[in-house]
Amino acid sequence: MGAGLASGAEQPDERRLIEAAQQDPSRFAELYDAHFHPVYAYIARRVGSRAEAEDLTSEVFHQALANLPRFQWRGVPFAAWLFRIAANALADHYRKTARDRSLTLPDAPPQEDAEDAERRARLYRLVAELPEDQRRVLRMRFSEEKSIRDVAREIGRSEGAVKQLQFRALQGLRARMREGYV
Amino acid sequence: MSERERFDELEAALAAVFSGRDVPGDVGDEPRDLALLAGYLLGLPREEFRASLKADLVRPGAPAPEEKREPEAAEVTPQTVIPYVVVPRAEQLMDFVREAFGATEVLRSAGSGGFHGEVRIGGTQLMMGGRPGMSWPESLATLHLYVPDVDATYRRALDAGAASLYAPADQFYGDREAGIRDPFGNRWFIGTHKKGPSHVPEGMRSVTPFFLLRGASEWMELVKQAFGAEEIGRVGLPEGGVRYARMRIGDSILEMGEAHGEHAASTPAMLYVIVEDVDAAYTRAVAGGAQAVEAPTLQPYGARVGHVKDSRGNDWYLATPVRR
Repeated sequence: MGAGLASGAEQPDERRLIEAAQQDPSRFAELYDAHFHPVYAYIARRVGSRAEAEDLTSEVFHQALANLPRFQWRGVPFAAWLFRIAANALADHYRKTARDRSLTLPDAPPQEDAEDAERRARLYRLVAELPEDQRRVLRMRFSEEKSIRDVAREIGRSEGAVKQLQFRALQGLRARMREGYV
Repeated sequence: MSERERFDELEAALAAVFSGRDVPGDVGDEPRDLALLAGYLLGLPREEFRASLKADLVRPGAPAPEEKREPEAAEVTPQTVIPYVVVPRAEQLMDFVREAFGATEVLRSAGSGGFHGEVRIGGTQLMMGGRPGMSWPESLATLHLYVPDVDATYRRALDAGAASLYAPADQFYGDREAGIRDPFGNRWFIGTHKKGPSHVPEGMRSVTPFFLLRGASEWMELVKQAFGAEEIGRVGLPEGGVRYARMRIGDSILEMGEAHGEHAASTPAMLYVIVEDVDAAYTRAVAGGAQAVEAPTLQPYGARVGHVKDSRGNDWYLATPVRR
């Protein structure tokens, strides 16, 4: 789709989604689907473990849902609002874990951070479009951090076959990124 | 260079990426490119996490985090199949079953996602949820209820706003039975068993889900294949079809029969089924002909849950509680 984070092209749709979710919280699913990957990518880059990334992502979306009735449409992208919640959650997290007491984070992430998160999110979405066997191998290797040997054992293929699937999957992703598909 | 060598070269480059080192200088251009791209995948989220957070956020009746309350462990006794009724006015339904049937509240929880409640009627668990203006469909139930005094319960139900389907009458199978439709649209067959030591016939519970269907026999086959149900009794109709049948899943009974005349077909219902191994149960359900809706994921309320639909649109939530 090629729209950047601050693009105005999708705003009327987004506004409808927000208003629908304000009326009926079950409609929050659509906002979640649209924004999960960038928020997760933004957080995952800044914490040390998958467990922390999941906890904080969960916190961000729960806070967003709880505060949605107070969200006022002023033309600011919903993503920017979510990133601000994420930045605050990260700052709190750093303070609690005392990983870096001197660290101060801005209210909202700089534009380039948000764009980096969007790029990563686009890659994650492309993974979902790979053929099933390639997608499975990538998920096991990169989400579940399994070795080639463990993946091979689990899916009942040889280690050579797993390496080949992995190679083809990454080739496919690179081609899609180069195509300018996203 | 052979293909195999290129795959191995990529693997060597990935090992460097995984451990935060630079890709070695002797790695060829393509494997190097792919390994660098793979570096961006190190933060690839777990699908299971993405799905379970979504389910948590939009679960019908999901309580807001601060209002969440779990039932005390001691309040819950094992029950394989628990009917779940979804109606916009779920909270009022809970009041109704308490008033009309003397239900005991186990859990009442209202949050931004709606209402979720659990009751016991004569020891049998029943769940309900929903919210006014909800965008998801209703799941109404047809339920067979056994009470000590059907005439008194029938009167209380009508006083609480139910409509009569048929007044209490003695039936040839040893029950005195009445029928009502509650103000929310659920159908209740209310009986008192007269031919035994208890008002509940042996092997039955106080509340049993009942399915009135056209072509019940075909549905029964699916339920056997998909959910491991065991047929424990069937009375046929002269013209073919099932007059009445019972099947058992775990420690719970389902009742069913051919829809006819005033006994119109049941609308799709929802069942929450406790299983030992949800992944195995889900796989069997789908292999047995149920339609996959959502693969098992860990839910924040402490269960790993998968969702399938049967051929008649009934929703089956297969759940394995997780000890915390």
